[in-house]
Amino acid sequence: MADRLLEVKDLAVEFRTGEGIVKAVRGVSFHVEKGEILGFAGESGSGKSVSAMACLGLLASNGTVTSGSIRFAGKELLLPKDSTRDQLRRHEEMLRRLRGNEISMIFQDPMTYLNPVLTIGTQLTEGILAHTQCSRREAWKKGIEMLRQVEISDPEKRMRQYPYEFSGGMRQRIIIAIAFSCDPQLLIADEPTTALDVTVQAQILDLIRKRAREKGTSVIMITHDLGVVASLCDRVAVLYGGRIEEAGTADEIFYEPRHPYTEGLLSSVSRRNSETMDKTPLTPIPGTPPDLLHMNSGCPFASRCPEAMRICKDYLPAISSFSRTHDAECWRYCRAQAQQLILKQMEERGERNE
Amino acid sequence: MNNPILCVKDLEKTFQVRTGMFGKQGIIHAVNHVSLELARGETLGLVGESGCGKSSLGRTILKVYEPDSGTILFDGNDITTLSREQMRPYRKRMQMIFQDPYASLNPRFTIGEMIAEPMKIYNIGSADERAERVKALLKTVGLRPDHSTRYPHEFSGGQRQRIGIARALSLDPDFMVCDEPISALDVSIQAQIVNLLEEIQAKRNISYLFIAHDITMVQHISHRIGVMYMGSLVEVGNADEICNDPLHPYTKALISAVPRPDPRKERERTVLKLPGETPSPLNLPAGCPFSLRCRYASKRCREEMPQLRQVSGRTVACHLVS
Repeated sequence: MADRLLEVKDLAVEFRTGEGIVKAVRGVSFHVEKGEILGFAGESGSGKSVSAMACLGLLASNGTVTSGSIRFAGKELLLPKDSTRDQLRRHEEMLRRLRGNEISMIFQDPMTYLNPVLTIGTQLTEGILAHTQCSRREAWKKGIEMLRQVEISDPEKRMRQYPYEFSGGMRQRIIIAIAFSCDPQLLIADEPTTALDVTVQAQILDLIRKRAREKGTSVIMITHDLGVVASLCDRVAVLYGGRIEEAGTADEIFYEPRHPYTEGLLSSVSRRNSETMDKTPLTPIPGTPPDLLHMNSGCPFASRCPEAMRICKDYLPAISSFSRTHDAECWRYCRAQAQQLILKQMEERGERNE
Repeated sequence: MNNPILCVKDLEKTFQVRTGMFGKQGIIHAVNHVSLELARGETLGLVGESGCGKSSLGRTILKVYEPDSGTILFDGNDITTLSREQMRPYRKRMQMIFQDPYASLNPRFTIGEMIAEPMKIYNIGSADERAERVKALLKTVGLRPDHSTRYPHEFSGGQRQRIGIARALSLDPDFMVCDEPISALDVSIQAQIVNLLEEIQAKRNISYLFIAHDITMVQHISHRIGVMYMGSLVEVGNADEICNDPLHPYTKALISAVPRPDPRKERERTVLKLPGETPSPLNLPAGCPFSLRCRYASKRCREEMPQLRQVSGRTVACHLVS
């Protein structure tokens, strides 16, 4: 346990919207070890981005963390609700020192993330100057070194150029250079390659992989692309409707999936039989993604699950472990418990009827 | 190919652009002398990086863009220079589905009105008959007939894409250009749409030009795949052959960059790195468009444009492949 860099327990996040309360994250627990790449796989609205953003304290103004704990390198990042103003201010100060320094982030769209009216050099040295005690000249030098690391040619000249002079792939590499400029312990990458071509995607994934292997930076890789997960991640958490449905090593998730959603996701993508190289037919998951405004209290996948039982809609299943690293939450692995619950439910109903 | 539904020869489409506010006029070769054939009931996948001209090619074939030169034979008829009026009988037989299911449906139309609109334009059937057909089409694409009175905002992305497909099917086309029809959808929904398109093809023998950047999915749905680079078709062949044994150096690099959902294979995969960045489409090199980034490029490659030619069962445009 000593080498757990980030440990999140029972995190829940809600958003107040005009149409009601959206429970975007409904109690997720995960951890990231040092130097490990953890994949967050899931579809839109699964809560994968929100879970990660909550770790940085970067939620939209209508969002609140309603419960849970987030420990990063031994520090608690969530304040108790009854904190005083003073505590709040000091906490905000601590988070500010953390962001961009010990935890950094890469976002999806490289075209909008850079400020168009500032040079690359200014944007690259901003973080270094804010977080370290160094002169402008040293920061500039470090910036050039960072550009070289992300394989941008002629970095001295490039530092003085503006974002419009770079292609999408180069901008994403600059963003990575910014993210790595303060030697963060944790990198949160939110769909960093979704807007890019495959050849450029390969470069970006390579940079992230190298960083994790060589410098021991931990990474949370948020993506919906199972190919990216398979090529990059050591462990994977599969999210759906604000819950982590299954977590395990990449091999466990891809070759021995336990949760019906993971199974459905894997059979929705085109895979080849490893021996015969034959196409396996696509078996899509029926139905549509969950409506976060009207969620049942049970398993979020219940309405689309081919094996759903009555209990699934009303109660969250307990977590079943299949190995030291492999967990899934599904009622089909705890049928005995399910039966007890149903009996109890029936008893309660019986009493009410009398 | 015997009696292909579509035969494109030497098609060219350029766009004039101005670089910057006071910049010089430039010419972008979006489609650069492309030739291809499409059989009845066949799916030809088009892959390539953004800006390589796949969408422009699809739109030029449908004559949404007026081609600069070359010929388009649709079912044996030359449609290259037909006027809008003369195109009408052909338009009916060629349809398109779009990438963004949120932008391609008119929010003020009900689903029923939208699907009936093409039939109305072509004066097909009475209002009642059209309504019947709308219901049948909705069923075909996996929606309920009573959805026809609803508006687009009531549907999810995958359902909207189904509506777009129903609208494209309403005139019983022979040929459809599917321009990135699944890239805006979630993974679990993508499979639904791909299966639906395959089902429709099996029933109605429609030919698809399937444009997408997700090569895994293109390999799944296509019989043949064409690879484009900077406006040119560099390799065309059987889908599995292209993906398992690419011949053109660009195809090799492209295929090697695709991550597959299979961790064990991923550990062995080596990406063939391309030096440099994708060059500007403004100034095409005189020779092979890929020669600027190709590690094998010779003097000949830089000076002479390679033509598509037959090599072991497929067509490749490269001087070096034999």
